[in-house]
Amino acid sequence: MMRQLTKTRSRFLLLGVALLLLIWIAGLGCSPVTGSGREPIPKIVRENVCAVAGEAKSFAAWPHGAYERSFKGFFACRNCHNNGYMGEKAVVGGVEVDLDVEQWVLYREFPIWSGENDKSGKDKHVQAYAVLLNERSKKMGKILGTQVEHDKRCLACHTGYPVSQMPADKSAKSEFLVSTEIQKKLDVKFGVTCEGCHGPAGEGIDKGMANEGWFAPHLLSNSWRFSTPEKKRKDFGFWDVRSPASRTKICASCHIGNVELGRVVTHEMYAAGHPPLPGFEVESFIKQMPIHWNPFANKSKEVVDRFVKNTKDPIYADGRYKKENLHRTNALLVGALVSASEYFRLAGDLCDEKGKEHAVLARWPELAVFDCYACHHELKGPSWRQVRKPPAGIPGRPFLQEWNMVLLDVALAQLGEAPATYKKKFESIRQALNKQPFGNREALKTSAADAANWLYARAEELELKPIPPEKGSIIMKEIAKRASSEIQDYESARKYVWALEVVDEEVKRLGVKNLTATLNPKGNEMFLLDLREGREARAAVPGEKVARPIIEVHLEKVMPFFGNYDPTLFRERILGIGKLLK
Amino acid sequence: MAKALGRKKPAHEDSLCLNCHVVPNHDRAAATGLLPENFVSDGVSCESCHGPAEGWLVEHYRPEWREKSTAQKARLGMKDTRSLVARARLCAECHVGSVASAKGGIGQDVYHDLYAASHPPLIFEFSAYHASLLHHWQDARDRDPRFGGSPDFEARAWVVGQIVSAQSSLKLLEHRASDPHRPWPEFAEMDCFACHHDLKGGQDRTANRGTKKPGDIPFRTWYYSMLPRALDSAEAKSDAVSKSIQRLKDIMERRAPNRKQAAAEAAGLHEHLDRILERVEGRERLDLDRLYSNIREKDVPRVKESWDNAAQVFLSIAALENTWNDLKVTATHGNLPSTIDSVRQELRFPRGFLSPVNFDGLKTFEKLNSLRR
Repeated sequence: MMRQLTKTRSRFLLLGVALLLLIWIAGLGCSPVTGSGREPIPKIVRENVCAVAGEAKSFAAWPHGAYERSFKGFFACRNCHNNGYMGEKAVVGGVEVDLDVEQWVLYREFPIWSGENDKSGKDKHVQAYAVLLNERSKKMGKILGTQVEHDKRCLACHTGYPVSQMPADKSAKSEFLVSTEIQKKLDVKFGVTCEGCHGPAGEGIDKGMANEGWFAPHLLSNSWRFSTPEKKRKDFGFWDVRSPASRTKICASCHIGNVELGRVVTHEMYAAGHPPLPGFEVESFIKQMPIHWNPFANKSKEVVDRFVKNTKDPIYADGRYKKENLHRTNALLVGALVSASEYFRLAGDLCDEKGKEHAVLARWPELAVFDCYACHHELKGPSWRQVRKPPAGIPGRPFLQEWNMVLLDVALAQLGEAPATYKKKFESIRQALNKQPFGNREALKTSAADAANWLYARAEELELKPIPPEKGSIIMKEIAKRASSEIQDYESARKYVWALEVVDEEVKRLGVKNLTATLNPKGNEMFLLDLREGREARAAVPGEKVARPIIEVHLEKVMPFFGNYDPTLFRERILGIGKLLK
Repeated sequence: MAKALGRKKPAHEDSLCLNCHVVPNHDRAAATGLLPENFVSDGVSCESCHGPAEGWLVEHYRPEWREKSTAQKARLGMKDTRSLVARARLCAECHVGSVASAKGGIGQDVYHDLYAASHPPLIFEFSAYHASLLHHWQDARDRDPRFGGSPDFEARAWVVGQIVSAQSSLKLLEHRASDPHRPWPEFAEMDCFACHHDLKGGQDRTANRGTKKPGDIPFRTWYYSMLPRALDSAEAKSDAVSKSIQRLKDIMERRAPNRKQAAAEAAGLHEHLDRILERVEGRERLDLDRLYSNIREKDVPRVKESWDNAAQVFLSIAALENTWNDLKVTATHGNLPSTIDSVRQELRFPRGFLSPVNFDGLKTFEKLNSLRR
């Protein structure tokens, strides 16, 4: 019966969208916008977005058309990306293919993400909204004097649905509260849904925007797969999650923060009980999602060849793609550059009043930007913090979160001369920070923004520079060497461990067992590496009869890792790895 | 430490350190060439507290010396160590900190950069430090009215120490705020343990801190926590002082505290305390029972808020216990000695730590609340 319905729908869609296809092919794409009564986009978002609309590749601000399009809703995606593709054969690259057999995409994304079939593999993104209704969130709400489940500052990350499109709660005194009507939207209730990462798929909201979203083209166009990511973005608002740089930027917008999108966890929220954001390493986080796509390594030769032959995506075109290259290692290093870029951008953006227009209301200095554990540690005498050179240069001065700067040298080394330039840019940041405790606001804003832009440009360079397999061991040795060259704090050390795991999985040098047995031996664990571990709880979501099961961050289990961390022991272990790699 | 701070000289030759570790204003004295060779190796020696001896060395053992007034002795360079206020001021100069006596001097200041470089924390309370010192004088005279002393010496020392320490701290704050070359915000003015604790789950540390927003850094009230109580005992009105402390707290707890406002508020308050101190010494005997009762009623509940409050309350009660011991009236205060011992364990830093890892405000409060009349 499902198949019948789908067939009927397909026919209807084919008819109806043929028209749209014509328009698309003709390149018109300028239909009148249907007013929807949504809140206008804040001026500053539009200004920033338009400012970069002309830029070809590098974008300092968020991609053009990010939140000026409406959501289609994941129920639309679920029609196909659910239990195998049940439509008719498609013609891709001039060849008729069965999309379900092809497995270019899995067509099982929905059950993977929602955990419908397999609870243990559930993606935490689906429960992002539900956790706003648990005990910890209720307590946070009391302390902060708000209702977190419809506060913009929380919803900005805890749902993929753009807060700029949420109508304000007119009855509330607070400017941060949105109407509770929003809780009826499935794309809010189910946390970070498809369009939260792939970009809103619906039509443009504002006048002057191309009307067409990406829903229809991606479904119907036979050449969608081969189009450049840029065209998909500019013309249809489709966010590129294939490019490591673009993908990391999207993830980092929540997992590190982004002022422009209103995504900032402030120190006030932490004090009220928000679990500390863990140091972000994109490939390791992706591993733990679980992934709802088919990696290139798993795609069939036929599918890959067809793609590589026809694609205009610069990362894969012109013979750049070779199966044996180290793709995940490249993504790891590109990810490190982008994470650092986004972090510096966050630090710089929080220096100025821009935040006020984005409902962030972080006050200068925003303590959350600095290294949590530089302050939050018991005073010990003697302490490894006093043995090592102060990261700021002057003892006792708040400094940036060091884990962001980990792997940058290794990444830049793949590009040749870049490390010296980076050192200069970083030195400017350090000097800005040293002028006074928390840094000189103006100097930090400029130096951080400069470093952010430069690093993102390097990331885009690196993703176009494949890493051949023979470099794998060298990179591993480099990582191990840098990890042991200085006293590392916990998050930095953990990032090194994650990085070694990712590279080793591709290079297959030591075997993950050997690696974790040396770095994080069972019974004497130094690091919490699997962030999916947590405490089972329940959250009563409005409109649902049964409270939803969720996994919460179990702070009593997580936090002692920081207090008990011994950098000398870590150094010993990493030197052991260095020996194994010789 | 010297290396971490980027100092040009090693610590044992650096006036930044010697100004407390040998003698206040060492930088000025060394510059004049008046310091004898190897003076520094004696550490805090006689003249560090009693004043440079050049003018009084050959005078002070003569019989006529005793007839000289304090002012006359001071003119010859001998500092007053008999008066409680003068004594407390001498100690506070280093143990709290002070501004340089001459312009351009380094002064005596352990600020946060030094703490981060490993300097142990300065947590000073005059009566406790005074009691711990090996007395190299006839200390029975401190309790003897015939020599200008008083039997309730320990309690008096506590009262005077609170006011003098507060004043010294405020003068230092004024200086730190007004000197544009000094780091600002100065973290040593904030509550150490509000930041310096491991992050744990299941805690709400925002309660009871009195900051405007959760996560704001609380002002360090170590020197002001029991000040109103000390002023009450000295029969000085404490309302205006309490209000001023609150204003100072509000200024300092802003994300970017305003230097001018902080300096002005601190200056106003320490000048006010100066006028009070002029009247404090030479009072009648303190009403110890009233002081004890006020502490139990008004200050013990605040013990839940912070280690600083708890420790200061503890020290005030310990001073009272010492006084009652001196006066031989312990019998009327039941479980005081055992409670004090028990609370001391709650406040201790565990071995190897310089922070109150296991401090439980509620537990400490319950213990102190059990004190019987």
